[in-house]
Amino acid sequence: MLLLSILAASLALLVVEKAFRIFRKWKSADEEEKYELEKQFYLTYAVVYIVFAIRMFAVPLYFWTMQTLVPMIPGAMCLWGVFNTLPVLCWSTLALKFALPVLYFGWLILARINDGCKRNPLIRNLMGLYIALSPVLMADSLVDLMIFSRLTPVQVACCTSAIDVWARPIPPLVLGISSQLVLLVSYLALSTAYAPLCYAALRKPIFEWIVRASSLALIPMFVITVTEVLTPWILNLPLHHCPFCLLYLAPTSIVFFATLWFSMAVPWWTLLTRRLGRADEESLELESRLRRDLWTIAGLSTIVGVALIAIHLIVATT
Amino acid sequence: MRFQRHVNLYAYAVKCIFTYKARTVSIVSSLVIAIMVLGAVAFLADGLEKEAELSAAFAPDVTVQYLQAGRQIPIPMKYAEVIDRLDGVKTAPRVWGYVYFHNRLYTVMGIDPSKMPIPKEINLAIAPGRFLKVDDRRAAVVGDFLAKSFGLRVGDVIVLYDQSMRPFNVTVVGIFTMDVRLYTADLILIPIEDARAFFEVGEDLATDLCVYVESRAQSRFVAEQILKNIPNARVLTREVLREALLAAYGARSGFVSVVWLILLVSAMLVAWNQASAVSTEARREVGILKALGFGTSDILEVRLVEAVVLGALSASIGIFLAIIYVVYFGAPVLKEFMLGWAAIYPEFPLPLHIKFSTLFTLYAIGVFPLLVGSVIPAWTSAITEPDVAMRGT
Amino acid sequence: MIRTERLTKIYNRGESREVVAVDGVSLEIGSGDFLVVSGPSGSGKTTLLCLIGLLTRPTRGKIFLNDREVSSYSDSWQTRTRREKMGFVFQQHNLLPQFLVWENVSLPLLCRDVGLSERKRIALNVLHRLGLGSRSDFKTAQLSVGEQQRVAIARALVTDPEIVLADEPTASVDVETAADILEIFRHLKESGKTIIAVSHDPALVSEGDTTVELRSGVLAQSRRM
Repeated sequence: MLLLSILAASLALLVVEKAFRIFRKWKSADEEEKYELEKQFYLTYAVVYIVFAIRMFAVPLYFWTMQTLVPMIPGAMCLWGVFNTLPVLCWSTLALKFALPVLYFGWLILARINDGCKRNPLIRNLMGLYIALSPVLMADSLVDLMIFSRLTPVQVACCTSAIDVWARPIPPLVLGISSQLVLLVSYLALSTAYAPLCYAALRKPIFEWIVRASSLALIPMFVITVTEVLTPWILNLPLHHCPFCLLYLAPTSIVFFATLWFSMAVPWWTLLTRRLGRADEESLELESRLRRDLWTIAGLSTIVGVALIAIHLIVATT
Repeated sequence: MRFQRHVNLYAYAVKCIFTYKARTVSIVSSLVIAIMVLGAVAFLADGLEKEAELSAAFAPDVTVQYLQAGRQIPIPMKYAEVIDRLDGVKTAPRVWGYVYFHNRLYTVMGIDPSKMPIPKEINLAIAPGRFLKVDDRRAAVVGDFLAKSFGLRVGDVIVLYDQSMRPFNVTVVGIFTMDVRLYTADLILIPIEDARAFFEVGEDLATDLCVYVESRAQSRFVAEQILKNIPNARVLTREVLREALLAAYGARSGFVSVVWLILLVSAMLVAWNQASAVSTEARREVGILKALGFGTSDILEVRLVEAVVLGALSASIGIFLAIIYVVYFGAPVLKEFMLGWAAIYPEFPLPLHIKFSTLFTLYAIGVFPLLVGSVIPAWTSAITEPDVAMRGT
Repeated sequence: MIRTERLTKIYNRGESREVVAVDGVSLEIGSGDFLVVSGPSGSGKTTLLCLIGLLTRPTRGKIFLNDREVSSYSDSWQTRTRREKMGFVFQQHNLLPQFLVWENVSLPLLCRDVGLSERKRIALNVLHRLGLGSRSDFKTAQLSVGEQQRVAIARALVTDPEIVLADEPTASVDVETAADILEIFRHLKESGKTIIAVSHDPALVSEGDTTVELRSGVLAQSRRM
């Protein structure tokens, strides 16, 4: 885990200088100079692919490594407990682990558009985005290093202290005795509405903004629904609400996490392609085609995710 | 098929691996050594972890020992009554110690089956034979490894010698299976009365007390109460025992990982060196390919796929050799370090447990460092000008 | 079909060993034409061929292919254009010794979505047409020089390119093989392919529709035959 973080950080740093050079010189370069810069770009491209691949592989590794630390931390019974040893670092890196792949894939989507054009119209935008991304990439690696170097076996409270029923009175207080059912129905209804909105976004740009707003609302709703409803129902443990325990004890749930993550990431990818992927006519055409494909996949992905949640619930209750 | 192009390039990459044999052999051999060391440690550590989990499953909820001047001495049985006064708690004494048997040290443990709640799973842990009964005398259940070492079967008699060198015969009534080897490898389990006679421990004393709690969630609370009521007690919960075992093996495997890191860095340097030493022939080949329609990204893809394939191949060979090293050769050098047994303890067959996450980690460690070490040489090769082919330089 | 406008290539630009290999060459090559480029050694013939074949970038000037300015294309798009539209015959045959004959011929097809069996079929087809069908499973080292050059030509033709570029295709072979190669080029011309060849061979020059002569990188003479 540490090794992969060091490798990713070193590689990412290695090409920042090249990215700066391409970004500065591309506009004023003649054809021969552009060709030389393009050669540098290939190195950046290769490094970006490898760094992203390392960071993606590091995500399950990170969780597995933290899981192995559970016996070493007094009081910890699952990942929640381990995270409580260094709460600021651990919870922020958890957020990074879900958010960063959105940026990684966004970069790769833009690179795909650039590759389909004859004159590298997006090369400068790609380098600019990489320069903007690189501190975040480094931060991701550095935080991993900090966590594993500072982790000590201190006494911690585990998930029961934070998310079991007696610690969270709010949902039943607000929504009443059927709070779980209300939450589940609301989440499923909103998700189901999200899918046709994605298809509508294919036709009219205004719907793209509606979908983006919906995805922002869906993210916290998903987290709350998983904690309040899906975990206790799928695990058949009415008083247990720890999402880490859900992922550990019902590993197939990772599939609906992944499909719904994808469907909520697409609106931001399309925002990125709209802003940075339209430098000339050729890229405009390619970007439009790719954006249509992305929205279509987002709609399908949402339907699949909702269906998987339903399947999990049905299997758990029968 | 849209992916056919990539399939073609991957096939070409594999061909290149077999074309440049010297480079392939040097990279693979250095990486295999690193992966093999880490793999052996990881499999051993995972195996020990699994055994520790199993052992903890058979341990009492709380174990109470008595200390004097910081060292354990027999605990007075009156404390069992003190503990029994706590709600939902049952106490069972144990008398145990060590004995030399054919120049090896074994644990002889006496228990009272009438007081000890025997888990239903216990019968799964014994084959052949049975567990001890309440009215058994001069009967023993022994560990699988002990039985195999001396060719013992159910019904055989073992002759032990007590402190006064008097013979003490016990008849084997059951043999533990391999699954609980860590706990039982050196164990001779006999009725507590026999153990008292063997070790000359009076009725008013026991080596330690096993405490069983109705609600496992209350173990910690019960442990705290025991500490309050019994001065000089050392109270060990099941979780503490399990964590101590896991932490010990984890710390040992962590140390070996430092050594392994040095090996891996060496492997990366070899890979860099080999990948950088691009011959004129290899440069010309790239120039020709580019003239024939291969792009810079295609050449990069080929070179990086080579690195991935070499890494995966090295990881596979390293994992295979690690298994051979542990299972068939008994992990010499590593075993002594990981297990920490002294030479007088019986030979302990090594537990091997292969987890998916360990395999995933080993493959990641095989592939990514090599990929990182190869990216710049791959790029240098890929940007070869195609007119090199025209000029024959 | 191919047009160059004031094409210039300078090596080691800005340094003391700066060399102007090609200087302001403007050419027009029609579809199906056979252009032969001649000139003394070091006059920039191979560089001109590399420029037109998109193997190197011009320092100044433009290259148009079917009225599209390809000289400003990115490296990947120039590669794509080269792959789809051009075939190369090198002076040194440049066959890869680790591959069999048919594998060498099918190399340009690796970067296309063509599977193994289809690649082999196409390669064998081309080899048969050039009279090398019986040599398809040989290693290249087992062939004569003439046969190797014919395999190189087969490799150039395997993608059925519109344009064939050849650098001294008959320079390193004997008279008999040169005649065979000439015959191949005749057939290519008859089939409508555009051929651009660098050569001093009078027989090849006489086959060309147009001959241009380079001296010190400058277009000295252009003659329509």
